[in-house]
Amino acid sequence: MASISNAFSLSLPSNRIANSSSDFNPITSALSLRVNKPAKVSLFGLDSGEFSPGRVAVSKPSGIGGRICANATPVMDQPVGEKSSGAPTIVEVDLGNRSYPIYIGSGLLDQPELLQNFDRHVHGKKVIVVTNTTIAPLYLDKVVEALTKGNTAVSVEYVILPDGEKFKDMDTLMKVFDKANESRLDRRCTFVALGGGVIGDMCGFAAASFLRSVNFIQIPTTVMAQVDSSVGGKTGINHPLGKNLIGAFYQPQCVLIDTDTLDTLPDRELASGLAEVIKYGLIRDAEFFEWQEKNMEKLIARNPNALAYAIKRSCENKAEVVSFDEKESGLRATLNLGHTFGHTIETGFGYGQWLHGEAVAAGTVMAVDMSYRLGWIDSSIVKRVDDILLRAKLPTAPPETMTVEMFKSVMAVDKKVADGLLRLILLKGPLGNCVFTGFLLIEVHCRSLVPSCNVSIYDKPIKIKHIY
Amino acid sequence: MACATNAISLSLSSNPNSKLSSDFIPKLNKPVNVSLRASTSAELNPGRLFLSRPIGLSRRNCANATPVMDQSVGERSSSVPTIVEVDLGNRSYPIYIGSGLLDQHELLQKHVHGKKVLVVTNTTIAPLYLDKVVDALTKGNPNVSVENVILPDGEKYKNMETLMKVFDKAIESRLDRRCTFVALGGGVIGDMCGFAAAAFLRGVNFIQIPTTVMAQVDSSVGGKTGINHPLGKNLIGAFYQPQCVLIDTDTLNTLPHRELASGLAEVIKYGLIRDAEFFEWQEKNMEKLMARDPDAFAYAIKRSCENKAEVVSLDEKESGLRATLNLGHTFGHAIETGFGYGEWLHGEAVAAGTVMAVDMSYRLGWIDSSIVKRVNDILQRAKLPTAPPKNMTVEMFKSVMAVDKKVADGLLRLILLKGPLGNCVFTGEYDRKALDDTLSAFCKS
Repeated sequence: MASISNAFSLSLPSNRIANSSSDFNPITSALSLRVNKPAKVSLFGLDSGEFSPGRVAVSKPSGIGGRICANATPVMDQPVGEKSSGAPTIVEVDLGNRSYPIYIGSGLLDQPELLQNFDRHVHGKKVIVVTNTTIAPLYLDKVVEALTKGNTAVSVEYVILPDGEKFKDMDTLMKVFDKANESRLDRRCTFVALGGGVIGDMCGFAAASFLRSVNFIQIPTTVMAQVDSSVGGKTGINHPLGKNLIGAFYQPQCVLIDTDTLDTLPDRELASGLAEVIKYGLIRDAEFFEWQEKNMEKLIARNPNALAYAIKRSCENKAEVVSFDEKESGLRATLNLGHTFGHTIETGFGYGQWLHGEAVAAGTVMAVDMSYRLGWIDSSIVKRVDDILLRAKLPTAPPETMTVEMFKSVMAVDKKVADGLLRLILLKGPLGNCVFTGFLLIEVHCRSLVPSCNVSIYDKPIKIKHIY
Repeated sequence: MACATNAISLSLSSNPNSKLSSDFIPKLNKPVNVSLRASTSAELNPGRLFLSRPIGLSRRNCANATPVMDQSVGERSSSVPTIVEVDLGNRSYPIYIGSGLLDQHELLQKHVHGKKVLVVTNTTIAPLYLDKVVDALTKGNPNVSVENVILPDGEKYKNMETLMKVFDKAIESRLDRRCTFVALGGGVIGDMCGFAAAAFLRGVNFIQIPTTVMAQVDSSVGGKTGINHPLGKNLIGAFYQPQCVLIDTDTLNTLPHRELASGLAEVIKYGLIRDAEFFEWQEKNMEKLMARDPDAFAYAIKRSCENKAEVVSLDEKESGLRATLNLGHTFGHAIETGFGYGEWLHGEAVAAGTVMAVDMSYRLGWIDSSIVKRVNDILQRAKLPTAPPKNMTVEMFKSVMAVDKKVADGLLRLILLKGPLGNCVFTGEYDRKALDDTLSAFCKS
């Protein structure tokens, strides 16, 4: 591998932007991504007034004639998340003939017909479950049972990978291919991702590449995976120089979210997933954010109804964005709020040191700080973001050892860079609005956050055309 | 700690006026379909060139031949290239065929949309053509900068370890989603570069510049990319189409004879599975092909690409028809894997595999002995093997064939000939005894 030790040099344009927004040309205001709210579905009759807006309304985004993505028939008797095998909530990801359902509910792994639904999900005779050393002892047997119960035609292999972000690499991925080949799996087989985001991303990419692609199913077992990474088709592995630099856009046949799996999730991982939940509120769903402000302690206390609602609402938001812009030519990039800074933390500090959500939380604070410095949001939003992250027990600053250099060098290989131009997601306007915009140059000052790390904006944003 | 702690040099665009577009989908101009130049030799130009339209399909002709009377394809002058279109709706792309195309920089530059290019090539090809390609990419085009990565040459390097070198170079060079990869080499390079492009940042554009007969008539067209696994050929990869294929027939001038013959196995294949007329033309012109007659070669390449393009347009992801392009490949891949990657060239293995498939078809009573003879004859004239290596055993064949990608739920499906010349079937329904007999006939044990 060639060395990357050239000294960092940057030519700086001489026009600094003053803090005053009058100096700043809000070219991008025309581009602010004001996506209409996702279809709201009523909460199943609950006594708590806090999270039941009590109405079923399907708001169609203006100008878009697509069908509604989220589809939930209200069941009046059972709240989502009750620990009984009820009918799952289903959120549909609308991608034409590649559409697929997200099933959400308690005890879904005890409903073999869901997974075995031959018309849709498991088509061939062989399945390989990809999981890790933490999850296997907890849920592997249950999944194998769900796949094979009353179904002698299906045989299930499995491969157990080491647990953690630092194993999300090519060496570990090859273990999946080795096992699949040794087991003589063919093109009609199905891969099953049973685990968190790392497992989901790796299994998805393995399925995309094995024999030039085979079907796969997501069974996410962490909040992070249930609210975000298992939906939408982004798969891949890390490279030493950056997160997710190798992978594929590849959609699953379905996503099966058994909320009972969160019972065994450690607190730290649970909080990590909440960073993504908070993100949806900030970029497109103010009402959801307000609900979170009211219910954060319930979420941290793992109230099943609160978690179930948060998962469902997150999936609805994600599904809608993915349906509009699957391959990220514009809108989908907004899901990356906090991630440019966040990925830098993960890469610079070392994969696995901070969980992805922790890095995203700190990155969100930095993005919010930058939005505020640009004069695009007012201080109340800054405060609300800080507060909610603190209540979620998430970091609000990067690790102290992060330097400007580290940020610059890793951000340079962010996938949102286009022809050398770094593009970021920033907040703009009232809560629930964001922009995806480009900068010729970013130098990062976080005076108030980290003494050694500074952020300021040097140049005007450049107008970016989006297609959506 | 990740090595990103080292400071890294970064060159940013200093042109604030540069136009930016987030449109990742390149706008392909519809290529002008250009005729095959009529030549004085009647053998080359049967007087008509058309693709037989499948019944029920209203697709446009991929190849359009309006005779041009003056220049023959392959004349060593910079002439208008022949263009064969691969019709995949808004992912359609052209195959340019001609002599001296690498000197026509506007052809390549038309398909490069971002500012950075990564040329993926190998130790054999780099000294011969890398400079020419870099020149073609940058001539009159100061905005584009070109990196390159030079891989070791050969099938045995078509693996994950070698592939990682491409990713390493791309990432170190700070390539982003608007970059273009360029595959400059034979089938191994094309497959690896294509898969790297499919997976880098979850998908970037790429261009094929094939430099062998094998790649020019087959592997650079159609989007099958990938690498080998120790247990089998091409078990990891992606269906991923290029922006264009640029076939400069002059590159064959430096191709060794063994490689040239290897590519002819695929040319012969097209005749057998779907183009009897092409097969008859080959029977008449095989010595010309072996003598590297430029006109003969240009025609063989064009006709092969037309066949390939049509099949791919109809069945891109191989749910049926496309599998017919695998005639001889189930046995052939078993030879490559069993004997050792790189020992026999792909085409040599396909040739032996074709003989075995033909033998099996005959044993099944699906073809008559005249076809068996014609196949054997033409392969011998092409100086290709007509039997697998002596140390292949029945066991080796069976174990590798078990992981062939055409296996479906445990059922091995094969491409066999059936009926008059130019007809084949893709089937799992055949008498297993015929397969056993064929394997026993060709293997010692």
